[in-house]
Amino acid sequence: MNSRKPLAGVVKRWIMVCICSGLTACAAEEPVEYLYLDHVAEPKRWSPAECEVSVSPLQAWEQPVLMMRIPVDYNAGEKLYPIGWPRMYLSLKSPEQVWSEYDRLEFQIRTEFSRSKLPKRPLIFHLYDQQGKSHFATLDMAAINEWRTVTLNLYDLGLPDAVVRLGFNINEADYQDQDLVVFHLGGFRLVRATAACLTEFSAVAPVIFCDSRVLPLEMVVEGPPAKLAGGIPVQLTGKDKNVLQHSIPVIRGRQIVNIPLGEVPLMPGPYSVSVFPDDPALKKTVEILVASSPW
Amino acid sequence: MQIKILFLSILFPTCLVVAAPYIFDFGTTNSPLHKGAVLVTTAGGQQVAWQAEGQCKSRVNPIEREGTLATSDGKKSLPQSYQTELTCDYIHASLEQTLAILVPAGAYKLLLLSGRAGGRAEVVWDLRVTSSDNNSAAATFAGAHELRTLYLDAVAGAKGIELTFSTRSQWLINALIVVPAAEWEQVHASTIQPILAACCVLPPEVLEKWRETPRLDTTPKPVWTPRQQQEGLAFFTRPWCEPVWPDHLPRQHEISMPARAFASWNEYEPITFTLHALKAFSTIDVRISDLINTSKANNAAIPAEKIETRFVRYMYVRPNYTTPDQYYRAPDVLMPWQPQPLSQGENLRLWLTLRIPYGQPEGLYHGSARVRADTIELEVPITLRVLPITLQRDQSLIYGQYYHHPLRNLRNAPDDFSRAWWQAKAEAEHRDMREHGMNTVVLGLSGWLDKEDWRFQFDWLQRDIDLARSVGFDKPIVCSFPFGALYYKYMKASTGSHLAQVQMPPDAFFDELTAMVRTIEAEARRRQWPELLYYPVDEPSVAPLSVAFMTRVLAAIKRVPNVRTYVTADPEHEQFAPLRPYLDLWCCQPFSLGRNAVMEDMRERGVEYWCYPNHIAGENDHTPTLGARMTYGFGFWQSGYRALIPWIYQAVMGDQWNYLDSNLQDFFNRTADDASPVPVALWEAYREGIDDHRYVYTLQSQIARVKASGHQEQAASAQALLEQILTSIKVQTKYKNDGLWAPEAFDAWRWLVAEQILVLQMLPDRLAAP
Repeated sequence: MNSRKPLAGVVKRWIMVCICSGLTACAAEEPVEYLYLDHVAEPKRWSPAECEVSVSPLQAWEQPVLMMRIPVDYNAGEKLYPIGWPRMYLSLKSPEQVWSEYDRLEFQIRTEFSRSKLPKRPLIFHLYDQQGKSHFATLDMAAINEWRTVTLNLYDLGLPDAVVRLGFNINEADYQDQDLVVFHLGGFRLVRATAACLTEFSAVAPVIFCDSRVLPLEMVVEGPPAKLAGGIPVQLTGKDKNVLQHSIPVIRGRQIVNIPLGEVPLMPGPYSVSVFPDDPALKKTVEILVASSPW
Repeated sequence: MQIKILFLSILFPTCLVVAAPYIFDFGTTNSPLHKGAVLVTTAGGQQVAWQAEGQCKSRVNPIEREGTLATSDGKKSLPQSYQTELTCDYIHASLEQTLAILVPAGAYKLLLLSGRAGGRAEVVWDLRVTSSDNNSAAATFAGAHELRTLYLDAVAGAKGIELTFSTRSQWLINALIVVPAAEWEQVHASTIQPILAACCVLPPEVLEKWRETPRLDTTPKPVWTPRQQQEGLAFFTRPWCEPVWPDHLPRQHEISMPARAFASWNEYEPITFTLHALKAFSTIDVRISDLINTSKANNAAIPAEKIETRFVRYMYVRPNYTTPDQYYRAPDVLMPWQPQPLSQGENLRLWLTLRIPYGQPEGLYHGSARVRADTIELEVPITLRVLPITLQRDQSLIYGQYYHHPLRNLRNAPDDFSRAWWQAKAEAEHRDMREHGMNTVVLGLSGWLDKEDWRFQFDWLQRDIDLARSVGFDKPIVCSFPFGALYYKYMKASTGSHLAQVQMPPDAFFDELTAMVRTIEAEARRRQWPELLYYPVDEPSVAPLSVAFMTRVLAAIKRVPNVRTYVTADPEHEQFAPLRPYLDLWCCQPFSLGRNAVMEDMRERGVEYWCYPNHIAGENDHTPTLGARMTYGFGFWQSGYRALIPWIYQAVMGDQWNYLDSNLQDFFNRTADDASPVPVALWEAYREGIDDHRYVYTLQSQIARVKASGHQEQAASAQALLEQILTSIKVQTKYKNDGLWAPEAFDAWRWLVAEQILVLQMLPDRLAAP
C-alpha cells in the first residue's frame, strides 16, 4: 500500500495492482496505483443541458456508471443554436481538484446508438484548469455496445496543478437529426506509476543531419518524481556498435528530449535509439536515419 | 498668417504656460481633450499657429467602448477600433500646411499620432511631416481605423519648431507630443508609453477586462560563455519553421550555431537567426554581407542587396479569433528590417530570404551578419549550399487563396492617389501570391436586380481575371455570384449565415437560378475566361432543410451543361450525402477523408477533393508554422487532395496593426505604406511546404524518367526513400502543432530527396522505342 496521504474528502479505494495487463501501457511488471473517483459517477453532481444524466444499470471495472442520454434534435436547444452542443459539466470541490500526483485519468465508455455507425467525433471530454481553460480529448475510441477504456495522460494534456471542472459534450452537427445516443461512462480513476517508465517513445526527428548537435526524441514519461530524478538511460547504436550512451533528465508527461551528440559528426546511415537498453522489460527502441550534411 | 507667427514669436516665451513635454491634441473646441494637452483647432491654439488659416478641416469621431451592432449570439459587438481623447478628433487637409510650435530653443524629439480617421474604408491617407531642419517622417495607410505613430527629431530655433504637413491625397494629425531630447527616455517611460498603450493597444479601462496569458517557457537556463555574459548578447539558430517566442530562452544546443540553408535554382529560401539580449540595448543594427562561393575559385557571390532582410514582429494576439478577453504576445509579422532597441531577456529574430538565380554556380557560399548592439559587435556566420537542381512542380495541383479584392475599392476611392494605391496593392499582392506558389484566387461576380432585370458586373470580374492571368494564374476560379440577391427576390429575406434562416423557396427560384448560371456561363465563354466553379453558399449547415435546399440549388446549377459546383462542406458529415450527385468539388476544412477514399472517389466519379486548411492560416493561432509547412508539403502529398485554398490572404478588422480591436482578430499578411504586402511567417511556411512538394515531385519525375531509360536499380532506391518518408508521416486530418516531425527533420528529408535528384539527373536518357 502506498504511504502517501490520499486526497481528503474523496471517496476512494486504493488498489495495488502488480500485474494489470490491458490496463496500463507501462511494462507489465511495473506496479501502478489507482484512486477511484466515485463522486464523478454520481449523476446529481453533473449539470446537464440538452441531454439527460442518470445512473446506468451497468458497471465498469465493478464501479458505478453514469448514463448520458442524448436525443439529437436539430430544432430544440438554444434559440440561436438549434443544432447545438448537448453537454454536462461537473465542478470538482476543492479537495477533489488536486490530481498532480497522478499520471493518468482513466475511465470506461460504452455506447448505444440508434444507427449502426458512430460519427468520427462521438463524444468530447473536457478538463478545465484553474484559469478556466478547456483541455479536451475526442473520445473517438467509443464503440457501439462495447466497453472501451479511455486513458488520458494528465501531463500530456498540459494540465497544471488542479482540475476544477469536467465536461462531456457532443456536437449535434456530427449526428443526424433524431439520432439517439447513450453513453455509459464509469470507472473513473486516477493512475500513477510507482517507477519510471515510458508509455510512448518516438523519433520525432526520424532523420537528422550527421552534424546535428542533438537528437530529439519524444517520450511520455510516468513515475514519481523521485524515481525520475536520476534520469533514464538512452543508447544510440549504429551497425551493431554503440555510438553513445547517456542518462537523460526527464520529467513526468510528454516531452521532447534533445540528446546531445558529440562534436564528431555521425556517419550517415541507419541507427537505433533505445531507452532502458539494459532492461528488457522497459526497453523501447526506435529507428532513425542519419543524413549527410549539406554543409 | 506670417504676421500671426511673428506676433506669437514676439510674445514668446511669455505665452509658454505649458511645461514640457508638450502634448498637443488636434480637434475641435467641443471635442474631448486629453488631460494636460493643448487644444489645436483649425484656427491654431496656444503655442501653435497654422501658416494659412481656412485650409484645414476637422472631424470628430465618438468614443465608444461597446459596439452598436448585435453579434449573431445576441451580444453587443466590440468597436472596430477604440478611440481615445487624443485620437477621436483630428485636423486634416489635402493641401500642404505648416504649423509653428513655440517652444524654447533646443533639440527635441517629436511623436505624432495620425489615423483612426473614421469614415470611408477606401480613403488612403498620406502624410509627410517635415521639420524646419529637414527631418521628416511619413505614413500612408488606408481606411477608417489604422493609427500610426511617427517619430521625428527637430531643433527649435528662436521661432520654435516649424512642421510642414504634405500629402499626395489627404493628411491628418490627431496628436503631437514634443519632448526635449534630453528628457526623452524619462518622458517616454512616464508619459508616452501609457499613451501609446491606450491608443495602439487598448484603452486602460478596456484592457483591464482582458487577461494576458503568456506562453510559458520551460527551457532550462542555458550556460552562457564569459563573453556572452560580459557583452550581454548572444545569438542562436533554430529552424525557421519553429517559432521563437519573445521572452523565451534559447536551448543550449542552438546557441552560437551558424545560420545555414540549402536551396535550388530559382527557389526562395529563408535563413533565420535570433539575438537574445542578456541586458538592454538602445540600438541593434545588422548588416548582411555578400555570400561568397568558397567551393570553387569562381568569384561567384550572392550580393547582400539580393538578400531580403526582415525581423519578426511580436504582436498581441488572441488565442482564438473570437476571444474577447485574452491575449498574449506571439511572433507573427515579418517586418522590413530597421535598427531598433532590444530589452533585456527579449529575442529579436532576423529573417533573411534569398532567391537563388538560375545558373548560380553550385557549391557552398559563406558570409555573415554583422550585428552592432550599442558598442558590442557580433558576427553570425551564414552558410548556404546552392544545388544545381531545376525544381519541377505538379501542375495538376491547385493552390489558391480566399481574397478581399483591393480593386473593389476603386469605385469609392476619393482621389487619384487612393485609386492608384488600391491598384498597386492588388498588383503587388497578386505578384506576391504567384511568388508564394499560388495559381488561383477566389473571386466573385457582383450583380443586382434592376426591377425585373439582372445586372451583372462582368467587367469587374473581367478586371479581376485579367489581373490573375497577368501573374500566370491558370487554374479554375472559385466564383461566388448573386445567389443571395436571387434568394431575396423570392423570399424577401436572407438565408442567414450558413443557411441558418433558410426556407425552401418556390420552384421558380430554382428555375431562375439555372437561368442565372446559364447566363453567367455563356458570358464567361464569350469572354474566354478560365473555368468558373460555381460557389453559391459558404459552409451550409447540416440541418435537414439546409441540406434539402442545397441539394436543389446544386441540382439547379448542374442543369447547365458542363458547369461544375463547389461547396465548402465536409463529406464526413453523413447528412451531406444527398449533395453527392450534384457536387463536383468538395472543399473540406481538414483532410477529412483518408487518401484511399479520396483517390477512389475521384477516380470513380470524377469529383475532386479540395481543402481549406484554416487551422494553419492564423485565424485562431498565428504560430503553427510547422503545421503549415506540413499541410502544404509532405502532408498534402500524402493526402491525395487536389487543392489547398484557405481563408484568407489578408484579414483586417479595425486597425491592421491591432489584433485586439473588433469582434474578430486580424490575421495573415499586412500591408506596407507603399501598398506592398508585409508577410507573416505562416505565409512563408506555405511556400516552403510547396517547395517540399516540388522536391518530392521532381524526384518522382526523375524516377519515372530513369525507369523509362532502364535505370531500374537507381529508380528503386529513390522510390524507397519516398516510401520511407510516407511511412514516417503520422497521418492527420489537420496538421497543426502535435504529432509532427521535429522542425529539423523537414530539411533533412528534403536534403535526402535532393541527393537522390542529384544522382538521378546525372543518368542519361535512352530514347523511347517507337
